[in-house]
Amino acid sequence: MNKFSLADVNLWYNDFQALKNITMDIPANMITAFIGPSGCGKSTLIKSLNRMNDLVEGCKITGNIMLDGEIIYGNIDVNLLRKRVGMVFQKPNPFPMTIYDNIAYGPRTHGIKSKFKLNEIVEKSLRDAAIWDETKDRLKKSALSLSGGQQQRLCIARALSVQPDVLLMDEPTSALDPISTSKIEELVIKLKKDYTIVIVTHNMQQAARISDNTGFFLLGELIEYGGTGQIFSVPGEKRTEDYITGRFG
Amino acid sequence: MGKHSLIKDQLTKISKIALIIFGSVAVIAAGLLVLFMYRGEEEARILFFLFYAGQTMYMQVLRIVFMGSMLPVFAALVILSILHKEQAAKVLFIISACAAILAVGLICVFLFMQGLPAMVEMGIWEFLTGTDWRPTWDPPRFGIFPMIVGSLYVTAGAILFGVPIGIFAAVYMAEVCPKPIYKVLKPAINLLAGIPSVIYGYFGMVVLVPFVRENFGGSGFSILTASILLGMMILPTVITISENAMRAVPREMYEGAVALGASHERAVFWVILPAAKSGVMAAIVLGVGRAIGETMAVRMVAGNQPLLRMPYEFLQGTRTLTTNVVLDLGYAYGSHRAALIATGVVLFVFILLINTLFSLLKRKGGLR
Repeated sequence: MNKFSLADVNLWYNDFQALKNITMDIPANMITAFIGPSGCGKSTLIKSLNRMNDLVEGCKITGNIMLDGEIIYGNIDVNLLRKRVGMVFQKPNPFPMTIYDNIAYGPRTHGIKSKFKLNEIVEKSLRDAAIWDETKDRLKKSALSLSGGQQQRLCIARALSVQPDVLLMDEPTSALDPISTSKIEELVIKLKKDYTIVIVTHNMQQAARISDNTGFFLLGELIEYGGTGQIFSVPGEKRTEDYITGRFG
Repeated sequence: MGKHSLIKDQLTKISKIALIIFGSVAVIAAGLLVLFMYRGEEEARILFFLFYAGQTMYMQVLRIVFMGSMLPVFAALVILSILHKEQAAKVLFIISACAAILAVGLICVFLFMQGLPAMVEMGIWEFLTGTDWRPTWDPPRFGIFPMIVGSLYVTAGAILFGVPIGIFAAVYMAEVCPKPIYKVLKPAINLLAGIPSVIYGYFGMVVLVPFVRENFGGSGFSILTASILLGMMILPTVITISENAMRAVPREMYEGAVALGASHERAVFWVILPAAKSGVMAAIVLGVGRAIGETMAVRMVAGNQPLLRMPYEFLQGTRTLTTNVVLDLGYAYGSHRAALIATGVVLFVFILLINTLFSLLKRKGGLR
């Protein structure tokens, strides 16, 4: 089953074309990794999936992106789309408030006021993001007092708090140390059961370790897309092989 | 080489000792002077008369003490800076920083030196809580309680009008307004900050006073009018600093909120504004500082009666600490003049208290 279907997606930042004729399907309950050198358009593409590109001035997009068969660049409520398609950013970005309020922000935004319900959601989200044990005694402390890796897991918990279908992760471990990185990788694999995950990464070992499918991007084009095992062992394209073996990038 | 550095060491040692000795002499002398001034009522009274009778002699002594301690300090600094070139720059910075502190210190010392004896003379408690301001009576009465209350009223009023409007305007400027409008709005607000207070006062007199008179009654020269006018005057301070604080919030926070499905408004009011809290607090402090210290505009619209008002009498006139000084200073002499300086002392303490209170609030709010 496909979660996202993209057909002929072109995207411009003013005059610069950042994405060229991207056509791909992203299957549900799997981890899809986007790899490629800097500036290849992989972050741009992931941001088109929850319309975060709307915030960029001069951004224009054509073609079709469908989520569960529904065109997302049509007449839909963008806020509801972003509720369904959560996002975790490159740099941990907890809000400067308590750990509790960080998690409760999303549900509160979507109208949940009951204290009991909020407590429940906060605990569940923190448990799902594997950070409950570290935070349960300090829910009323500032989220900024956590370490970088904890902050990132808090951000994952925050994204889970609104019960999305999809989790977009834009280089979620590039600002973290190896131990925090491996914790997050474990977490991502665990989350696959309940969520469709799209992850952008600079780290090819990471893509190989955790993803089911991998797309290789170069200069705004999708060069190759297929099962991760296949891409990394028998790439169909010379350019993919060159990148994976470290000949450029 | 060895001998040279030995001399150098000796000189350094001497100049350091000179610095310490004469620096402490200057501090002790200043401290003793202030202490001496209000040790007892008798002595204070004697000093009080001494001060006005033999002011020049007294000043002369002070000057000698001051210069006498400063010269060796200065000389020691020169020697030090010649011997240690790399440290000279550092010393220069320290001196520059000290100049600012010195300015505050001198204002403190002279204000208290001139104001405290008079306060002791009149009785500090009577001065602060007295409700009669009758400088022409015999004996005169100097009670500044109505002015303290008046200052509180107009400042509170200014916060009431200025802070909400200022914060909303700042939100609009930082997060909502389209660029073409911003290009007009920003210089307009900067201009608002540069308008002399007498112009505000004039505006208050010809526009606000009739407005209040016609719509609320009374003469129009009132606490309410002064509050509205002061609210307008603190707007540019509140807007500019709050706007900068909100712009300084990392964009990632906003994106984080939007990515959760929050609308632009919800992200701005529930993430960016709370994140900019300490900056907004600072904006309010500066606004309050401006409101409580404002003189000319208040003088022109507040009515200036030195009478104790109740909060429900907001359509009556009032007199503030600042306007009290400026209204009487032109013709005051003797104890009247001293009472005005003492009013200045109270105002000064007021501002110190407000600043301390807000920085405490800020520190407390900083973590969450």
